[in-house]
Amino acid sequence: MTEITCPLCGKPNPPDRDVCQFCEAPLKTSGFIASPDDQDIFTQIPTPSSQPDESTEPGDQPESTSSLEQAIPDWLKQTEASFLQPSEPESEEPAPDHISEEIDSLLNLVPTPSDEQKPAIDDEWLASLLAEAGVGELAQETLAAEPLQEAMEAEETGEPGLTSEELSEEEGLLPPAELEKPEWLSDMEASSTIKLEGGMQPSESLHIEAPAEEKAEKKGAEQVEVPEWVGKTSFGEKPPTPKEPETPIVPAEIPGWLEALRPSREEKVSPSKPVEDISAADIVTAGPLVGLRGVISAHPSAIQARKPPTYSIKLRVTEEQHARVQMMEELLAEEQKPKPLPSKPILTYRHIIRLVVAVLLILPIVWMVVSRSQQGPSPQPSNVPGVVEFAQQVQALPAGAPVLIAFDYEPGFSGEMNPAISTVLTQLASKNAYLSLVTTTPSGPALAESLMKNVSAGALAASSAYSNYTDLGFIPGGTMGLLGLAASPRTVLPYSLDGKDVWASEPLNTISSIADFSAVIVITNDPDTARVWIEQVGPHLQTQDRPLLFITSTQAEPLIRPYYQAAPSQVQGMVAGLAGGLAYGGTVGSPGQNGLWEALSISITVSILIILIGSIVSVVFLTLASNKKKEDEERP
Amino acid sequence: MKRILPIANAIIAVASGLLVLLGYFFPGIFGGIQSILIGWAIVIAAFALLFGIFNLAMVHWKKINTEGQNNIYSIVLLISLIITIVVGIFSGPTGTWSLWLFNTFQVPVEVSLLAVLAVVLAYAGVRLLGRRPKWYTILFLATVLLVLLGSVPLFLIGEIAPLSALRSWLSQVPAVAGARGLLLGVALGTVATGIRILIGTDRPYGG
Amino acid sequence: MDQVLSSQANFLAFLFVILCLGLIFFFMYFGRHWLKISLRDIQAFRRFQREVDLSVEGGKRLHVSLGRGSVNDMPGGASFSGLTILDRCARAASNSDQPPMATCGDGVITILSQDTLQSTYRSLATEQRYDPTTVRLTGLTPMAYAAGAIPTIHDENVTTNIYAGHFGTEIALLTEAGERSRSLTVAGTDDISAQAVLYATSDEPLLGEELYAAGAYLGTGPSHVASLNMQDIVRWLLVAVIILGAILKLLGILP
Repeated sequence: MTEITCPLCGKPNPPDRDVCQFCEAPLKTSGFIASPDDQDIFTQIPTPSSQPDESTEPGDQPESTSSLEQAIPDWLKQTEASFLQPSEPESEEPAPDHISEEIDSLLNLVPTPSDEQKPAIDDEWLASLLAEAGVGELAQETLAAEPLQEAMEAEETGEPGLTSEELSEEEGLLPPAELEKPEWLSDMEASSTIKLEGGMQPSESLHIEAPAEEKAEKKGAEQVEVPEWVGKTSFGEKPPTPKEPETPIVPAEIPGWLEALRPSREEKVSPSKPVEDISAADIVTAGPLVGLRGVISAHPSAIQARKPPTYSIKLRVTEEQHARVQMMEELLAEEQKPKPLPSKPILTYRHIIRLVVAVLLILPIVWMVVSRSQQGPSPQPSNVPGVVEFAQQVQALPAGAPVLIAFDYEPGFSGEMNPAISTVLTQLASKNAYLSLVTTTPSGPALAESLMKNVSAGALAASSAYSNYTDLGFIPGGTMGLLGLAASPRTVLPYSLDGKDVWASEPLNTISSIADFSAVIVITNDPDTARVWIEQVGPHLQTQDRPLLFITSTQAEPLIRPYYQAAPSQVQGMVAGLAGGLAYGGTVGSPGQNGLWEALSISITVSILIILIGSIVSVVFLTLASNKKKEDEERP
Repeated sequence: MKRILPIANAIIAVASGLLVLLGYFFPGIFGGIQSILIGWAIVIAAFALLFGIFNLAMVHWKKINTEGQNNIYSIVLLISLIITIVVGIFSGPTGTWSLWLFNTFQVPVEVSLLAVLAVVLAYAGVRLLGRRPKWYTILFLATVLLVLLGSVPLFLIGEIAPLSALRSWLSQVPAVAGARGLLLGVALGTVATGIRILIGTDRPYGG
Repeated sequence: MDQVLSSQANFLAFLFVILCLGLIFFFMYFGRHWLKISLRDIQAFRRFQREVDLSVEGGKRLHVSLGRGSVNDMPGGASFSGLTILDRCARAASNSDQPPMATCGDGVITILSQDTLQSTYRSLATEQRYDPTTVRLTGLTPMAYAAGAIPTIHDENVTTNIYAGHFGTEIALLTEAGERSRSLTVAGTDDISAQAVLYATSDEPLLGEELYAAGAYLGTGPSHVASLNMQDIVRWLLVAVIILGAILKLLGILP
């Protein structure tokens, strides 16, 4: 079965389809390009085989039309009817101009393979267009017309060429049927504005439903030059052929339901008005669709290119969404900010207890210092171990002897250790000993210098400042530094703090190792520092029987005393804490310490009471709390 | 490079440690290299001190730049640091102005902190029995009280000879014995730590 | 021989070091297969691990203070233990919102702390979390160091303070600051007097040489467990030598 070509888009469709599968245009209702084998359902619609002689008025509809037919515009029906009829009378509307005559002549010129000369077709695209439109036989005939045209020309020129029959045999083309000029073409001609050769005055509309309007439009239509091909081409139509008797077509058997749809023959179905009133639509004035109304012009100028509408890229945000976005932004911003720490209560019971303890400790001390009352005797040297030996060692030093003093204590222990240090320095200064000051702590040089100035200002106020000393500065490296100092002091400390080469002048020019010093006095509050001095420097001193003396705090005294009490003793003398300092002062006749001992005494006593009473109170409270907790647990 | 650097660090550290250790036991053979390495270590320790001060300044500078109202102490610290450096440069480490700064600010502040320490320790003694109600806590407190009673003549009471003798015995015998034991343990721990570093299993230098 | 070994004491010291080294190697490579080593419970480490987890969960910070011990001296051993604890804290708190903070009182320990943190983060592939300013040198003298570390406890949202290194009695100021800020204090030092202070002021003190067992209890590696076993064995040896020496001296055999 042959395929049905869609009248609108021109694409082939299966024969069993009613609508085009591509553009959904009706296929069979119009019967426009129905296969010869197909039976026309609507018998009222004239077909080329069944009703060749029927003439259709523009706008007339076959009697047997259905509601579907009513939807079909009249012009399409016209076109269909005129196409199906091999020879149709021309429309009632006049074909006035000679352009139509030319077209007729051109159409008549289309030769048949047997006895007619087919008109020459120059444009192959039109033939292909017709072929796509499904004008099968016609297209084939049109295509076949080309070689025929050539044959005709060859015959005219006397050149040997193929006859039309030969050409058709070669190409295997069917002899073309008679081509008749369809009515739609006549209408087109009438309303076309294309100027063909000799000019054509398009003045008529294609829409025959409103002939009055069309007439008016014809008058007003502009004259457009019609290309030559319009006149020359046959639109694939077959040239009019002499009417031949046609075999009658047997009506098909129509199913009952379809029969019921058919309007009766007696009814005169007037053509319905088109669904869309296109009477007011513009007439196409350019392009291949010139003269048509209500269609989109194929002319490029008809489609006005315009800037596509710009659409905003902004999101349409509602108020609620905006509020949510703001909230999210605030949350994220808060994450970056450090949150303030929760405020702590200013005063709690712990603060009160601390305050009470502090007041209880400070007030008696202040009272003792202010009143300077002497409650008891100062510590005796015999009661403080190491003080007597220390004093003896210092007394045994010759005048002007080089003594190495290490200031390795922290400034915080100045209050406890400064009385002992001042007394020792005063004693050494009175013997005119050459003091070499070193330290292994960063604050040592400042401490040493400060003490020396105080000693000079205090103890030796009558004379000039004591200058028989040198500050060698800081020894880096801790234990390793001391090891190096013990082996070679010149290498570790080549210059003094003020940049002088003290090793080149007396008395240090005789010093090559640490054992060359008459004595080494270490001032420290740290038992680890004392141990390092004892372990690293002590062996070097013992080779020359040089004394290693310590001034230390009460805190470190228990850990240094074993070295003092060892046999052989590694520490030859020690002054520990405030008691040792006061005791040493007593041996050399130094004045009292302005109530320091009494202040220490009362502070210790108060501390004992605080700890004792506080512990008892805390135990009582703890017991009461635990009893209450047990009672709470035992309650039902 | 990422693989080579840790291995190289470990090799350098292990080799240096072994050479210094062997220098103690075999000074005739390794004494020279030991002295050189110790000298380098002393110099590095001195520069590490400067680096620590620079790190301190950077931390507080960053605090000033990031925090809002809670950076007043950082500002004070940086200003004090700059002033001390400038004064030390122009006056010298033992110059008049340097000593004035030292005696006016550092010594009183450190002495005050030690005084606060005394209050803190007294307060801790008050709460100790409530914090750890055990029998050895009572023993601890009893020892503390005995030592305090025997260290100085008590106010309005005077020196109590038996307590002084007891205090002397406590500080010389049990305390020192316990300290000796702890120090031996600490020494063993230090030896173990040093050996772990020498054999490369413990790498605190980020190897 | 005298040229090689300066004295008998040095010879004995050399033997002692070789003995310790051999015991460590023995327990590292042979002891772990057939010798089941069980560590006694130390409450401080048990609570330390719990508090580290709580700090991480709560988005709070850990504060590790390494003291003022220099690596040039004997207190350097305690400082190295502190570095081990710092490493474990950094690993445990690697996914915390706030990284641990370290305070030091020595320049060399400051540099080593920074290096430890950086290598820890590098091994966890989170080197971008390393900030050099999380390690601070707070002071060069003991009181200055304590005074500089106290603001860290108060201002840095710290829940747990870990003091591991060489401290003196100034540690009482730090533990007091921790108590004021309602944060836990786990502390260990090699200083005798400071240990007495810690017993009175700290929540979880590490007394004696418990600080040096930190690596073994925190799962640092087999070498730490092996060195702990070595310490136990050598300690018994020392006890035996001391008792034997006392007996010999009492009998007049030793001069």
